[in-house]
Amino acid sequence: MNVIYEQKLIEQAKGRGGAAAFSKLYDHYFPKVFNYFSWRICNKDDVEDLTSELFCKLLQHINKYSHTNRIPFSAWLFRIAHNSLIDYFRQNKKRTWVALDRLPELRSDDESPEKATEKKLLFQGLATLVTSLPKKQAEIVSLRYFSELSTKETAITLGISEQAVATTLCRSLRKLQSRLTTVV
Amino acid sequence: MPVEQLLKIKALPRKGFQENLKNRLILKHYGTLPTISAQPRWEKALTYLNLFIMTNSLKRNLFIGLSAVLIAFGLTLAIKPGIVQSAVEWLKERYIYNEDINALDIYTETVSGNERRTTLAAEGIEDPEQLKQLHDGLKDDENVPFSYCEAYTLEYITSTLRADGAPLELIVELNGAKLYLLPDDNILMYGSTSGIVYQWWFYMVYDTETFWANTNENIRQIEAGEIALQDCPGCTRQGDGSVECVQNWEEFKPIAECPQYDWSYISNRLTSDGKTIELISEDTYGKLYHAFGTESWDHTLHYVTSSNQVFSFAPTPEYGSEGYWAAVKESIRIINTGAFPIYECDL
Repeated sequence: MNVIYEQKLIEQAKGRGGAAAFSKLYDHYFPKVFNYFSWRICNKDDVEDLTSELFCKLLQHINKYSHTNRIPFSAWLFRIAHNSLIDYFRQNKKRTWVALDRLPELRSDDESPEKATEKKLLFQGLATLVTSLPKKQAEIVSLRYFSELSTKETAITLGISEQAVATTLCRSLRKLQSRLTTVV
Repeated sequence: MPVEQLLKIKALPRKGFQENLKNRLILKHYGTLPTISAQPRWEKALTYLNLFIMTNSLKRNLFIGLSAVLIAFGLTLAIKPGIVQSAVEWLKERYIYNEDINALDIYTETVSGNERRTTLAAEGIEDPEQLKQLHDGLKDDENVPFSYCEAYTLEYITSTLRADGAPLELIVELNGAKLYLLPDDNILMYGSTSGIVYQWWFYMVYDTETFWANTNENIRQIEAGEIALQDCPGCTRQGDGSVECVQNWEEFKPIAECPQYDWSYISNRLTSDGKTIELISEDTYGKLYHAFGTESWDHTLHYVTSSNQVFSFAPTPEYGSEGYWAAVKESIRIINTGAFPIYECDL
């Protein structure tokens, strides 16, 4: 979605007749947001709740967003998602091991049930590894890989420099790679 | 399997969830369900035309530059075919797989008429496919020198990197300009003679002829003023084109959210999170609290002004170090001058 088209949709979505515009924004951002929460929380009920709340907040507050302040819409949206996640972790301090059937569904290409289960276990293990990273590293990995934000968008979302994002990402990936052997 | 590959696993919502949620939200907010229609073709064309003509000078320049190169190449082809063969050899020599330096893949790109090249180098990773993925993961970053506003000082960068435990080597110093290497992250930082810091990632083997050729060219461009500064998130461009910056480049800069986040709310929240709070400083302008948990990194500072506005921050140097208190002092000084904006909370 190019920036001008996105800005146009946002402006339309602010109005009472902006349902179609909001629908397009929603379709574009829903998978990114859903994926972001899925990797951090690993419990599909909570992921659905958080996703619902996020888009509800977006609708209530979209009037506050203005592209003239030069913050990309994606960064603004994910800043809200990031805050929601912080609140979630604050309220759910004890992170429990999630049962396999509560894990989010994963994209599969007609895999056998065995393969799908294997993939879920891998997801669970890897998500646990990501969660075990220091908070900042986990957040950067999530935003860059699961939500596919650019380095710049990630930097703005978290209020840090692009340099910090790139450096942290490099270190996090190396750390994940070295720990990966224990879960694969 | 490389970790980047695994991180691409996508989660899917339960069947119908996405559409049901959308319809529910839209019905509640707009009172009607959307009549979805594709963006009209003429509208799409206009959008792209706008994008091309009005807003993206980089693309325009790129288009013009590429056109000129293609025309020149076409003319050369027509006039002297022998040159083409030489050009191919030249390209092969420089840009194709080079076993000697273990540079496994090389890309060329053309941006704003400046040819740049990115060489992927092995950093303990031998597999070309992995290197390519690493490169792809960073492809939206500029691999040429870039710099943010003037507030992004060498002093700030070096002190925070050192506090972070990152190895930082000064490899060249000339006429007051300094070139630093961050070997772990393949980053070069150049504190130019003008005092502005530029940096770039390099994807080539360190200390080879290719590396220095690229480094020298980057430094030449910087000193020639060919690299434009970029606005940082704290920059505000004025009507006359000048830029004012309130960013002090602390990773966690003091932020005051909306007034309803007063100290009693924040301290209650911190306490309920299991944090210990201690008052560490007080003067006529305000009080400085330290909130900390069990992990060494888990601490924040909260400066409560006399008007009960709370600014929360966490300087990056090690807690208690000289650099840490210098950063705290500077942050409080800026807060008291009123230079830090009070943000509306996100919601």
